[in-house]
Amino acid sequence: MSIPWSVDRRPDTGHYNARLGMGLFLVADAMFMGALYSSLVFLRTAGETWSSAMEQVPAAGHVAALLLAIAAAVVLSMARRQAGVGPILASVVLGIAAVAVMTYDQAQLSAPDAGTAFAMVYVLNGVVRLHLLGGVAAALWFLLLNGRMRRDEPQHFINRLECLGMLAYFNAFAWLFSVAFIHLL
Amino acid sequence: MEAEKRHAGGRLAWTDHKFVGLAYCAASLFFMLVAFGLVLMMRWQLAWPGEPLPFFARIFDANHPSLPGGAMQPTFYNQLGALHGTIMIFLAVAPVLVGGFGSYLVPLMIGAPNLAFPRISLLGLLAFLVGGLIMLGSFFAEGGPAATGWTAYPPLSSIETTGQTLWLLGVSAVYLSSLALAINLIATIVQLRAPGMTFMRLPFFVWSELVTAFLLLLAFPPLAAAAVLQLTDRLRGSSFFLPDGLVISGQPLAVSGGGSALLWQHLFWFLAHPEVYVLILPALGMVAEIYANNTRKPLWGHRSMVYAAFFLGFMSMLVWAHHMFLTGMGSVMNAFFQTTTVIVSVPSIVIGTSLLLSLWGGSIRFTVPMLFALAFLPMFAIGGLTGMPLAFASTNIPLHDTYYVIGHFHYVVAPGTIFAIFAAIYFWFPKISGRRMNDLLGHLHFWPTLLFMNCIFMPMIFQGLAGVNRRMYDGGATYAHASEVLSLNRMATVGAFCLAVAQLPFIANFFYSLIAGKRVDQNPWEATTLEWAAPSPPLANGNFPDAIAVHRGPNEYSTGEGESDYVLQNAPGEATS
Ligand code: HEM
Ligand SMILES: [Cu+2]
Repeated sequence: MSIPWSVDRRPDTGHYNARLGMGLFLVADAMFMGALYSSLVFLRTAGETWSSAMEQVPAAGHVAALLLAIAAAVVLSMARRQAGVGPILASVVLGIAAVAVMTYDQAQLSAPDAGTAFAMVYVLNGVVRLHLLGGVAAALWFLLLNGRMRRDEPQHFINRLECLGMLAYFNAFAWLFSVAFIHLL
Repeated sequence: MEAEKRHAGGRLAWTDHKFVGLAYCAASLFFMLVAFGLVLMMRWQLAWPGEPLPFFARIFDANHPSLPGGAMQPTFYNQLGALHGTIMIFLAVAPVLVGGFGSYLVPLMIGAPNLAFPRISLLGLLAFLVGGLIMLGSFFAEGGPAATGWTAYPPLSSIETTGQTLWLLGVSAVYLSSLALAINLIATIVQLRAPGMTFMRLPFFVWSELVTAFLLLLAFPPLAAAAVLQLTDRLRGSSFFLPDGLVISGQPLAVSGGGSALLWQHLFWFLAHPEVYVLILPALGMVAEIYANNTRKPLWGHRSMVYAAFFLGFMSMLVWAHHMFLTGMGSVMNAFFQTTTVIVSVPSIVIGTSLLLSLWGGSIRFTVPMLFALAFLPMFAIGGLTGMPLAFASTNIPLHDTYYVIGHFHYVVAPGTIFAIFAAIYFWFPKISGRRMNDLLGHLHFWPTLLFMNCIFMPMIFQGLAGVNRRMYDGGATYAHASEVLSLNRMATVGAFCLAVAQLPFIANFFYSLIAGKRVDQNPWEATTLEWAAPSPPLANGNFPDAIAVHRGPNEYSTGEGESDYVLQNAPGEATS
């Protein structure tokens, strides 16, 4: 028995199932990231020893990673239009590049036991990297294992790309807010 | 007919919502039994502190460090308490309500063939089982399981043994399962409603699951974030929750400092207060369906109940710091959170009152599920009303952390929600198995259970009013002010062991009826919602033999239409709602 509205949009709600599901997942994820940002603000204002540690956190790498993450999201939304292999591949490369920059950056920084400020950067960086890696893994899965779907059920495949695009934009925003809270607060 | 039977008896796919729902039910009822077993050991210790435990001690060897010679050590009491609370809430009651009855009934009640994301629901089930195994496995960890209560407050929790790390991993796994459930239930209800099933025609149970799913979706992530932070504290030496200058056993603790123990409390209660509504809303929903069916009347104020449930869900996310009145947040914060707390009681009272008025003037059928559902209401009322003095900061101060609190919330979740769960099991058993449970055994289960639940929890209220603290491994034996009410400990303990015995008729009934219960047709209770339009059990593949179209509201009883006193939601014809 097939499940209704798994590919087509239900007219009265305007969604196919996966799009709504992805939206709900991202709402939960926003609460997750939001809790981390709130913790940062709470500790920044309540703790006595936030220190000037943040001045040691290099902003250049963080911003570079941000640009790469945004580029990955934008390229994916191009892929969605034509279900093209090239743009998906490009988004994978951009995503991996962002992760690489963030990993390098983190390695330069003091460990989490050096202070709560460093620990916060460590957690935010790690969590966003995991998000990006999740997106890369999904893109690779669609590329390598969904060839038949791309040919025979193009709409289904395009839906998947749309959902992945939503995640990619979310990831870029998650890192954008992280960078803002880390460097501007 | 033959073909239909073969279908109905056909094997369920792993990804079928009925399989997932039943697996959640079985696993969480098992966990409930475990958590009940843990608390029986605690009750023994509270009534007869230091006396060797009776049969439990035999499970452990005589020289076990937690139970030397069978007598319970303080740390072991703390561990039992932490795991009792954690398992009951995260692995028993919430999952049976949402993962079990939610997954099983919601698609049926809206006329859908399955959940919207069947494979994700199976993955969620796996995460749940992994979380449960981690939690139970932590009993075998070096130093035993978590010992800082189900609330896991730092700094204590941050310096605990490995068991606490496992607790955090277990809770994180449960988070993944509840995320999968929440997304699935919301998407299913929004997307897979049968034609004609408008939102206002959804049965109240479906509404209650929808609001519950939103609570899980929005409130659980902050606890997951908190778990990540506490794990980092424990494993990577950070100090998110550890302030400067901590001293343990005379030794300064080597942490970087700069953290705040209160941050954990905020993040924890941001989930944990909505979580208590997760434990009650689906229960209210199930009771509502059973009331409508057994009074042969539509629910009184279905629409206001729906709005109240939504408002309740929303407000429940703005009250969390009423658990923190004693942390010195300041009077402005206290005033804010006591106000929101009093406001949130209004929709609960709207729902409770609607349920009470639904009984008014009905020709009540006193079936076994109805007995449990009827008893639910006064028990829930005691639980709710004893919450009022806790809502105000000034009256909260002397009651905080006493047995009054333990009595208060147990009235909500034990004789409250657990009664609703029993009611639901008796009510939907025929749909799930095609057989009825035995009535006599049902009565033998109900009456003693009602009696002993009150024997256990009423004394706690009085002990708390006398000032007996919670989480004391000797039940207050060393405190002068507790001496007046100390004998109540024995009353509660005897009640708890009798309650265990009173569950035997249920267990016998359950398995006996599965094999030899009286066979029923698809609608033995003459009910109106769509699950009763499916065969019993529903078709393994797709639930319903024919396409479903909905023509009317959820509880069309005694409308005067036709010769019977009920009309199924998918019955064609002129709708009155
Ligand atoms: C019906 C059988 C039950 C009995 C006899 C029972 C008894 C108790 C007792 C004696 C305590 C410990 C008090 C202390 O030392 O502070 C306790 C704590 C607790 N119980 Fe139950 N309980 C039962 C059912 C439940 C249910 C159904 C739930 C939840 C849905 C639940 C949730 C909790 C929680 C959260 C705690 C607090 C643990 C902590 O201190 O962190 N209990 N219960
Ligand atoms: Cu609360």
